[in-house]
Amino acid sequence: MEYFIGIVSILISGILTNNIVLNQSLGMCPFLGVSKKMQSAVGMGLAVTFVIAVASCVCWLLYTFVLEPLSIAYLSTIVFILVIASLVQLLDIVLKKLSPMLYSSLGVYLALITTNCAVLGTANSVVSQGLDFFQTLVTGIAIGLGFTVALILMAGIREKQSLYEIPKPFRGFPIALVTAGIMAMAFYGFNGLSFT
Amino acid sequence: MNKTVVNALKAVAVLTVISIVCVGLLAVCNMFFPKYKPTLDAATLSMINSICPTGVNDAEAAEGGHIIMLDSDEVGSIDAFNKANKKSKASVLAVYAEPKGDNAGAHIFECSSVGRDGDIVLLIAYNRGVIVGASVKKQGESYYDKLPKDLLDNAIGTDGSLDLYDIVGKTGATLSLNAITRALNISATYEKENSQRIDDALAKRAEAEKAEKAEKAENEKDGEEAGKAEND
Amino acid sequence: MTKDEFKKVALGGLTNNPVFVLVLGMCPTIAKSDNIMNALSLGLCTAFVLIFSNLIISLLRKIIPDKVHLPAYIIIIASLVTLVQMVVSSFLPSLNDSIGAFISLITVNCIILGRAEAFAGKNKVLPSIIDGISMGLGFVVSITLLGAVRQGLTLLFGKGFFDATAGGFVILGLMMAAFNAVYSLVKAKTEKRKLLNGRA
Repeated sequence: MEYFIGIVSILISGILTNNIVLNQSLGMCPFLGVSKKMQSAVGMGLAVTFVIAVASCVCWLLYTFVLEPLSIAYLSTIVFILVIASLVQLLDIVLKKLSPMLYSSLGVYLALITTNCAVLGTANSVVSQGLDFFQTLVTGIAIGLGFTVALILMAGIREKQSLYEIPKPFRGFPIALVTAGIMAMAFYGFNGLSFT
Repeated sequence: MNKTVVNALKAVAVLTVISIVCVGLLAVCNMFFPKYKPTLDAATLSMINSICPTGVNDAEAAEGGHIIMLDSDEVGSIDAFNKANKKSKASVLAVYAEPKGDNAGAHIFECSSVGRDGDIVLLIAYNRGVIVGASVKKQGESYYDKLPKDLLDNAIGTDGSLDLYDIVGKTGATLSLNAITRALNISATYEKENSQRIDDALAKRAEAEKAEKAEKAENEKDGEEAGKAEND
Repeated sequence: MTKDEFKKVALGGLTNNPVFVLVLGMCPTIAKSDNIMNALSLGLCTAFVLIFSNLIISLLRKIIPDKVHLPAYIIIIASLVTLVQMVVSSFLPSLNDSIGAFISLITVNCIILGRAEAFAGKNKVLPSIIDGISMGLGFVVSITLLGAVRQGLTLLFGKGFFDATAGGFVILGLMMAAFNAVYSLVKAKTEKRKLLNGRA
């Protein structure tokens, strides 16, 4: 029962209380780059969720069964990033065939998922927290969903912002950052949420 | 062989060579870089002196050898112990002892476990198999303030194998609480397994000290006699 | 290498500032600029990796086949980062506590891969090193400046906002806007001067 509550709390912390973008400030590049339109935001969010979830699990498996037993844990950075790069390459090929529309809307940002701090960051944190496989899977999905939620909210706001005259120095990234800051403040309200 | 195959092989070869060179250099570094070893610094000594009082102040405790640190040569490989107890998700970082003072024969363990935001490191002092004092040496938890201030008092008098959640219940900082529990539990396991070894190590040290003192006394006597003979 | 070329590359850290202009390497910039020490140390580690990755990639640029240049770059960068991780965890344990987790994220810092792709992979060794130093310095100065501002504001207004993520976003956004405003002002002035000189 406690284990189940732990799983729920992982979900809540990943999406609301410890959001990867708004609390841990990882995954910024696509967050600022793709969040201008709602459609691309949803597609990006799902792609990133997939990569984070699968990458965390694969990296966890490699760490637990290969790197640690052989005492070569210091190679984890190299191994993890290669796993992530391969996964993104795989996703590239699969998306091209299965959903060309999504593929074209993501554009160059699909390849940039490789350098998304959120993916490597999650892989590192599941390993250092010593979670088991199922917890790792849930963490990956939760963090991905958190990223998607933040991205969709941001896209909604920015779509509305594009209708207004923004002062010249603020156009583009500065206003996006200030918006993100205000959103992060709003999310502080979730800090009170805890089952445990 | 046609060109594409040659190119593909060339690409693979280059990648392999780069990988081997990089991994090789890192392996060499890994062998030669010292692994971080905790030492008995002033802050740790002071903390040990407050949870397990020697009866003298910190400076005297350091000088007089009231609080000492034991290494793997004396108590067996701490790394091996941690490896064997990986499932506990906690580890022992260092072993200290108090050969003299009010709590002579006390064993103090520095244990760590992963909490919500990184490692929590505890110092736990045992005397005759029972916890006499404990404190948190290092933590970076976001919700640490939600834990009761006298949390570790619940561990005093026990053998360390308690579960703090049963005693304190919901605090809003369960991840931190569980980490502290795991650190306490691993110290209990270590105490049970290695208590005798630590006592033996302390006894050996005491004997070595005695022998050294005796030798010094002999040398002084010889020196005195030689001096007297010269003067005569 | 001509003097003009040198000037262009060396000033790259300012005109193409990775933080305020190119907007790359955001993650460590916001997360670890909450005080000056963190910002400076992480900035220096990043600069170190940037300079040496530029150097090595430029040295090997003719040997690495184009098809596999990305995985090759990634391996080289990741190895340099692992080296930094080892050095810090062995010799600077207190630093490890504060920025340890973010050192491994230097691997995916867009600045490093970006410069490797855009510059080091196509230019000779010396310009690449200069570019690495310039961009690295640009990053260090920017992130430390951000750190100083945030630490100062935290001292003035207390903890809870400016040293947290939300504050980081807002301050970075405001500083970026300020940088843009100053830059366009300077640009307008020099253009005006050029026009007037041309006339005269």
